[in-house]
Amino acid sequence: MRIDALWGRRALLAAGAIALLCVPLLHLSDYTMRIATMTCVYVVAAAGWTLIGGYANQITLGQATMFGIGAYVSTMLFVHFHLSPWIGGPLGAIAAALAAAVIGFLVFRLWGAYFALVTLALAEMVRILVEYAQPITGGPQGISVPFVRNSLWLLQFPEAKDYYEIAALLVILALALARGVQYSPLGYRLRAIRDDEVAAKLAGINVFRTKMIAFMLGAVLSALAGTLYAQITGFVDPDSVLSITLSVQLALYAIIGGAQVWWGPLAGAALLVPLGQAMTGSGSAAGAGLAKIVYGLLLVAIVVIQPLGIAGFVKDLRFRRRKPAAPSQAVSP
Amino acid sequence: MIAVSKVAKRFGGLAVLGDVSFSVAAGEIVGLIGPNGAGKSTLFNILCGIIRADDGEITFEGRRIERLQPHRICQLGLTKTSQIVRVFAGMSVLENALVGALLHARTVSQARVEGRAALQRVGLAGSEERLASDLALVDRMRLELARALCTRPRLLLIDELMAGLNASEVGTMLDLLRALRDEGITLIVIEHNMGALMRLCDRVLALDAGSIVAEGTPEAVSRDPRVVESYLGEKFARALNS
Repeated sequence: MRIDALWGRRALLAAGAIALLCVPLLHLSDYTMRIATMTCVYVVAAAGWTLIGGYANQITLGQATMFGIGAYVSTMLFVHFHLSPWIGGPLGAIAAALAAAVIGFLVFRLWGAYFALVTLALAEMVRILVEYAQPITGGPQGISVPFVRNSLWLLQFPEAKDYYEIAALLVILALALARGVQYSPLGYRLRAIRDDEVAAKLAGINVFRTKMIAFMLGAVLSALAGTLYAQITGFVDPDSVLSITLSVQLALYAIIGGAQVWWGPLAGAALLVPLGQAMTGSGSAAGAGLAKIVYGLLLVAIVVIQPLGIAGFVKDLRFRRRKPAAPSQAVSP
Repeated sequence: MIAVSKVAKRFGGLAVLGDVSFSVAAGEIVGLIGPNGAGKSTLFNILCGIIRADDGEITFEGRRIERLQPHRICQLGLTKTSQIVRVFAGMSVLENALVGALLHARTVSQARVEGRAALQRVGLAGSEERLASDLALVDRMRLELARALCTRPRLLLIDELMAGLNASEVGTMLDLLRALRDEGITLIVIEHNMGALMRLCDRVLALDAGSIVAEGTPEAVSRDPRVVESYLGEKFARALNS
């Protein structure tokens, strides 16, 4: 019975992954596919936030740093050394993991609001550094990824929608990692830290190291998303990949989707990215402003009604569905 | 097992512990008594590394531990249960125990097996899937004990486990603690239930205003004039020893 349930769940996950890869078969409009592709990018970036921000409740407001490092490292290596993003991306991920190690070393001793504020301040420092390093980063004006040719090896395609399959594969990889972590010893340790750090220490958990591993793993995911973003948009500047706005957005996607479960970033980004795109895509400044107001209202609603996000609603539904089933089983043995 | 030498701690201008020295042999059950504010819990926190002592040496099984982090000390085999119960409120009862077992278990499923066994021992079998925060206080204390046991301690510090238990539950708990000792776990127990303490302990240390004022068999300590004056009170001491 349990084994059947386990295989049933696996089949469901596999079906979901295949469905994600098959979206292009629906022959949606280019515009819709572009939004779907960008949604995938943000799902991966937000999954990176979830590992530390959600699982361990260490609310970092600097995840854009990791996204930005991924975007800048691969782009600079491509522009200056003609290195393929297939190499530049992983190198960017390593750079982001190292940056996470340095930042983690500085902030993991801090608690609550102080932690959030210092991560935010450090992220701003990185943004300013990149702006000043104009000769190699392009400074505030940003840096373009020159289009060489339509090539899988150079990860360059004419249209955003052509990146969809790769973005979807990265989503599957990222969520598989996030899910693996959730049910691994690391995941239980992170949850223990979220609930009570002192008790976690008394249970023999190396709190600092556990947070560090999660933060570095998350940095890798967000950085890979950053590389893909740079390839899709063909342009990277501090405002788009290193901003506070992006950091807050990534946290919001995960929190609104449900930061304590692996599929939270998927639910959150799938809801919010298209919403934001639809409103800013209308071309009016009012639409862009409206998007922010809607984000704000959604966040307030989530915090008030269901702190566990969309995942919390699903949990409630399951619980309600099971509840009446229990007595009927008891009566009919 | 453990030797504490001249441990001192002040919080700001307040000297909580001054020059505390004692040692506990393997297999002993030692009681720690004293009035509120005597420094008992602070001493426990120092032993397991939550608080760092200002001064003094602590040797656990031949190893100096006064500068180690709590998780290192726990890995060496020393942990505690807290007076203010600390369970992982958002996790199930089984998951709480499992987290302790992960210290030695290779996989989550192995830790789950060990967790179940520990829950059985402390009398929480059947509550595995309940949320820890839904448990009554007494059961949360039991859960904390189970989690501590899952880390396979060699020296376990127990901070007020009997509070809120009725007479028969106290008896069950005493049996459990004796059984743990028989399995090779040395115990230091803070307890205000003097009756239980006298039945349980081989030896009692009395702490008052940050220093040890009496040490010996439970009977001797409960008759000690300084203990009677600062903690037990004349009437209670007479009743206890009559």
